[in-house]
Amino acid sequence: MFNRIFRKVRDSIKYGTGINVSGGDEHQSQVDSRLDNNLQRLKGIFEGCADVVFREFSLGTEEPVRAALLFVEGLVEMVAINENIMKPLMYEAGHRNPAITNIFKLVKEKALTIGKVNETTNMEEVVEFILSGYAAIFIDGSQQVMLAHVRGGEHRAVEEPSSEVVVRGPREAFTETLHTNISLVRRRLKNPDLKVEMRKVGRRTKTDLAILYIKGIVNEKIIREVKERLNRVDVDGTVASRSLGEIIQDTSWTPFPLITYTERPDKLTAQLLEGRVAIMVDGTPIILTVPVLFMEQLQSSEDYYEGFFPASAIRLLRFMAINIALLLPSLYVAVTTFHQEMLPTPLLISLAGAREGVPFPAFVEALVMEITFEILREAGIRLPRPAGQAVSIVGALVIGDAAVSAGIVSPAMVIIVSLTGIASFTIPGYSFALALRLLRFPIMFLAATLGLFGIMMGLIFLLIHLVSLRSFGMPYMSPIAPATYGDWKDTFVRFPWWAMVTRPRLIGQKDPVRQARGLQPKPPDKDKGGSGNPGSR
Amino acid sequence: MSLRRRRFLTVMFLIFVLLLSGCWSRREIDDLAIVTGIALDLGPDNKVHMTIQLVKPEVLAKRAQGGGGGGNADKAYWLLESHGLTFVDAVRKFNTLSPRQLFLAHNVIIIFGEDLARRGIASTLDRISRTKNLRRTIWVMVAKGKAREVLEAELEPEYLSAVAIGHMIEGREVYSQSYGIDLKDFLRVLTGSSPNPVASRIELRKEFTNREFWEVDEDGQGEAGQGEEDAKEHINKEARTQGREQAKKSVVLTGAAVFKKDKLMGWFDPTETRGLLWIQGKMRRGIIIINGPEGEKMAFESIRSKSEVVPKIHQGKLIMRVKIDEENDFAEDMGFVPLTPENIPGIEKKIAAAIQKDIEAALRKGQKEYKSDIFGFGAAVHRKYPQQWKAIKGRWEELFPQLEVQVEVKSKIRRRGMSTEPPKPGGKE
Repeated sequence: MFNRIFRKVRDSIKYGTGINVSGGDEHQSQVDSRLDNNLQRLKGIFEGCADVVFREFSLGTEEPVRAALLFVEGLVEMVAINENIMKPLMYEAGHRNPAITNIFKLVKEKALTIGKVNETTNMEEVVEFILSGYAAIFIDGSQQVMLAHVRGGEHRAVEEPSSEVVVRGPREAFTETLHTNISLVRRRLKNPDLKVEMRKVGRRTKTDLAILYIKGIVNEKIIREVKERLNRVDVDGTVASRSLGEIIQDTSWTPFPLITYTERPDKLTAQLLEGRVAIMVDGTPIILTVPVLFMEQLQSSEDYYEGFFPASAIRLLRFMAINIALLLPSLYVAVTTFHQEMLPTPLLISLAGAREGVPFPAFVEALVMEITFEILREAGIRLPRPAGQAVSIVGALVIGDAAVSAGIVSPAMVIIVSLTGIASFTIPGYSFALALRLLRFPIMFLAATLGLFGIMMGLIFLLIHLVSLRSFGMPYMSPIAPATYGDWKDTFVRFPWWAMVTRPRLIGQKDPVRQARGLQPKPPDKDKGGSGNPGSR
Repeated sequence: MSLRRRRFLTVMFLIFVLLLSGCWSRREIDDLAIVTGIALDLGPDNKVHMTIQLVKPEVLAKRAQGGGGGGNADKAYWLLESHGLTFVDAVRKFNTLSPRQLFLAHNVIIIFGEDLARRGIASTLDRISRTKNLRRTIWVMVAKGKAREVLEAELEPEYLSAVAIGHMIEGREVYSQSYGIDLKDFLRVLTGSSPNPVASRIELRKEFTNREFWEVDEDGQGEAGQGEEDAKEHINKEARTQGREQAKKSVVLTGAAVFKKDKLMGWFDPTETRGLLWIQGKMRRGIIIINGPEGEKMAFESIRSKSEVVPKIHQGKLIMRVKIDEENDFAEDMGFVPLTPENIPGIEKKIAAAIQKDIEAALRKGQKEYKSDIFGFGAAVHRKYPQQWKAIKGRWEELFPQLEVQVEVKSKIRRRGMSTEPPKPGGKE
């Protein structure tokens, strides 16, 4: 049924509206050797683009040669334009070796003080580079064009992560600028095996995109799969990484995220070291990594910055929390409307006492409260930050308290709903938490119709769905199903670092061992002339 | 039918199954009448009179929130009475009396009145054991007098007398002078080879708490030197006239109710009850008091015991041997005689003799007077001599009272504590 609706929508997109994604072929030709022709053509292309600057000037050679500089204001660093391009070209070009007759070569080799300069003869490429922050230098009589890297302009600095907060650990987060993001990873992985492959996506936006992986660790099949799926992407434009992720993930028919979205360079580095592939999209601080496993959604980078005892305990706590977040309202509804004999007598009496005079059945009560809570949460996020907090406090305290004292809901239900809400905040994977919030409602419905039997039915359906999922070919429920017990060292609990000798089996199988064995601290050995601990033997 | 169409129909079918069944058999907890206690009496019309204790959750909830303005006058329960020719008849009649559905799953106790128990409870038990929702872990007890009155008892600080009595039975092992049996065990015994069960005995006793007694004195209305009976009467009068403080009813859980088949034969007093517990190996903890070497009282707390009932055929005659192995802690010494290795064996013998006396008291009443094999001797014979049992099974009721029972008790003082000598005044000199 849903498939059919979906197909109709898709067809209407394909044939109905017919977006023209081809950019026209007026500038697909070669660069002309006459400057005037080139400028005329470019002025045609950039007609109405007031931010494109055309600067015509003469080279400071003995016989002045006409030249032109093109760039987009705001994308370039003006200091570099003034000091490293205009100044040497206008003043110093002629004072060099007069024997060089090729003016183009002279300018490039003797005058231009810019680190990264490309050459091209293709007009299409020139336009593209200008638009991505390069300065194009045309010289009369030359078919070649110099593209100087003077990218700059305004961008956000590296700040603290906002959605993946840790108490201890690095406080850097990715920004919107692709090159900054790559540098943040490169700084942590000083190794030529870290490969960065650039490509562009989006017919109109021409968004830069980088694929990062560590050669020698990554499974080539995954790399190939990532590239194939990215090749398939043929869109008008991609503004955020999430929209790209939805196209390249294995299936859309699931509430669960099949791609990790992270904004932490340290997390990304660790994932690359496990053999994963990262996809960075320019303009988004959220980086995609694949493949992803179910269990990772419950792991925070905090786990690795704390001792393994507390980290493991907190991880187990999160398991409890997802059960609460998913099931608590349903259990309450099921037990209080179908299985009262399961409650201890004093609890039954106090629940019954609390419900006395509440006009709705428990299910309606739970549904209303849950929806109210979700509305409050959404309002808290959407509102400007100072107002957002006020709304959540007013909502939680005032509405909850007023509803109870008005006798519309029972105090027990307020406890249940707030506990559920708070438990869902402990889940590190934000998209995963959203999925659980959503799934809570169908399970609640099942609980209200069939009781605990309905909850079990819902959970079994959920389990079947989860084991059927794949993320870039990797079974989503791994290492639980299929069971790879070796990987359980970092699943439900976190073993100490010296015990995590191997990489995750399915992902990092190409180079399974990541550190030496036997790194655990031990008392000094007597034979080797150490301090000789008498208690060691 | 195409695959897609079939899939569509399957999904619709599943949705309809969920929606059409609706919330079948849904019961909101505030629509339930939670039953905590059931009392069954024999009415003058020979009908079964049934009284149930129903919880008022809102009263308890109000109390939990901090009094709610001294709502102490509200009882946390109300009692409903109905009667019928049978148990189920009586149960169903409650629907004509109560706006809420009876919910039996949380029932704690079932109390039989003395009259009903003497008439026989087999037919009632049949109906009870068939009732769905009623748990098999409820306590079975017999009230001396009317069972209904027990449900009206006030046991501070609990609000629900049935629940409080349930707690009392659970805590019986501290003193071990009362008997506790749940429905499951009661039925098991009743249908076994010695079908003579024992149930708890509960007795209502009207008395005054100290608090009330003193309050009256402070008011200056009670005269000094007045007898206790006068004071009670006085308070009763006060209560009646002013409707203020009512005389509180409390209950005593002690002794046991002895059945023969399904009919109540009579009562065991605390000593006999303990004797029974010794034989059945149900003795947990309890104080044993003996006369010490100098005639003073000494108390020992039994901590662990083992009992063995061994039937033996000796020269064609059936003999029961009851062996008890008991261990205890030294608890209290009223005199000033320290326990020493020299006097311990003698004291241990005295403890054993005290235990033996309890057992013999139980045997005397159970075997000779009531002629009811509550001790499970028949079942022991059945286990040990299945062939012979077949032959004597029919005559067991005649044989049992004449049965010779040999009692052997061994007692051991395990711990005599850290204090070697009692704190005798001037003892250090």
